[in-house]
Amino acid sequence: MRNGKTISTTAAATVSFLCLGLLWWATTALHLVDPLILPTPPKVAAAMMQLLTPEGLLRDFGYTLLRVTAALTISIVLGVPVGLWLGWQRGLYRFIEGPIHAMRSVPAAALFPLFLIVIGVGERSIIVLAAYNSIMVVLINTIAGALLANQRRVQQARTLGVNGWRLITEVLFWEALPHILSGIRIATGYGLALIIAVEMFIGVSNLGLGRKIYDYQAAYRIPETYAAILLTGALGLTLNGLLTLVERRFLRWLPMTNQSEES
Amino acid sequence: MTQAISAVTIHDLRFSYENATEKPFYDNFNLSIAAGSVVAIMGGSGSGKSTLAKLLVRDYPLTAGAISWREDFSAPHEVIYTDQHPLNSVFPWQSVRENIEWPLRCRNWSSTERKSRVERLLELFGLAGRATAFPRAVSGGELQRLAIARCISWRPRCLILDESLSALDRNTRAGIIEALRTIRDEDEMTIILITHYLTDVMAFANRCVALGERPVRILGDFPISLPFPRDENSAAYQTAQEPLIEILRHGHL
Repeated sequence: MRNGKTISTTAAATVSFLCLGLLWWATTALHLVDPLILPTPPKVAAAMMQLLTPEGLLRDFGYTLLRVTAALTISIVLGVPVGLWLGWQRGLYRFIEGPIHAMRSVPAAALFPLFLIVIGVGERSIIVLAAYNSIMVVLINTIAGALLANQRRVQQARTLGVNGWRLITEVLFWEALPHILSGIRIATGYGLALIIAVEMFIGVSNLGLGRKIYDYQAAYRIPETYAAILLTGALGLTLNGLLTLVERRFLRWLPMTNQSEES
Repeated sequence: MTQAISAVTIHDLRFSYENATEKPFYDNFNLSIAAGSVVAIMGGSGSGKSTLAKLLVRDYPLTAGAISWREDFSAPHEVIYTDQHPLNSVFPWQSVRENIEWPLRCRNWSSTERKSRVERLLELFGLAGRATAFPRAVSGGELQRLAIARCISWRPRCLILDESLSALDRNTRAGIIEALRTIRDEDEMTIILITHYLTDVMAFANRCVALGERPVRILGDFPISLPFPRDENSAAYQTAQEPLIEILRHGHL
């Protein structure tokens, strides 16, 4: 049954993508839009074929992917343990809850000039900027998940003498996991958006999909611009697909009510 | 009953909930529970039986008086509390087998000890066929059996069942009671059974304490000294049951 469902979902997605492609093709074929604004699918496909080389857009794809992955890795490695620890140390969390939420409310882009001063212009500042934003998202989701843990289960683990790091890794981590993964998903979206924007507008590197979209657009190479945009979309889809696989693997146990209930 | 054989002694207990303005919930309440006994605590809703269970596991601070557990019951892991929500005692991310084994790891059992204990409990609680399933995939009765099997896996000295079986049908309850009776005899556990089902009390307990009124007092305290297995059609069973029915009826009607 589950397999049938997956197949029909895939089929539905394929059909809707085909319809969109058809709509695009019809719009250009009927000359409804200036070809400078919307080139025909074959032109974009040709540009894609021409640019998708190890020295071309593939390298930019790789750079952008590496930057997003680096930012996400930093945010998970720091955000998850600190978030679980703060969710465990509730007293401490109450004390610093205000500043954490205030920090999260500052748009990451507003901090970029500051990062440039502190870290300097370069690869590191791109990654730190995206990581800063992602850490806040992962951290806050992890804390929320840990705070929502079933307190009777946690109490029972304590009764058994489980405490400290073991309680965090063997109980709180799993209690919080659904929230941690949705935090990572949100952080991935933000991270990609930020990195593309930084690549476009701040000349720290000549490589990256954001940079290429901007350069092709500036040179009026519109089919190439579209090719780079489509590749960026593909990158986002790939990351989301990977996260779905991770969720399927680690949340197999989940669909059930999970609340602590007092009798 | 003397201090020496009592698992727990409640002495001049006084307790009120924080926001309560009326007379205390418990006042000058005294009760002793013998080690190794199966004591049923009965009473209607609001009779204070669940509050008593939580006071026994130190969930709330006492206003006055004392609840003293005997030395060998005093470590936190020796007295285990379960309620009617099995997921409060089961990790949904662990399989049935892992759930029973996890507490044993926490108590540093060796892997051979763990294996034989887990196999024994899986078999006794009828979970052998579900060992690798996640809790979400098992039935309500199986889930409650798992919760109880997990709670007694490390051989705590005392198990408190706070309406743990109340959401289940009669046959499922009888099956769990049968398994608990076996494991109780093997491990010499003390069991405090909080319930409003007379059949469960009659099937399992060797003493029944009926609670009621405010402040809570003991309306009746009866030994049930029938041999096992108990036949509910026997005259002795009927005779033993009569005063319980009587006290419960006049206690809250």
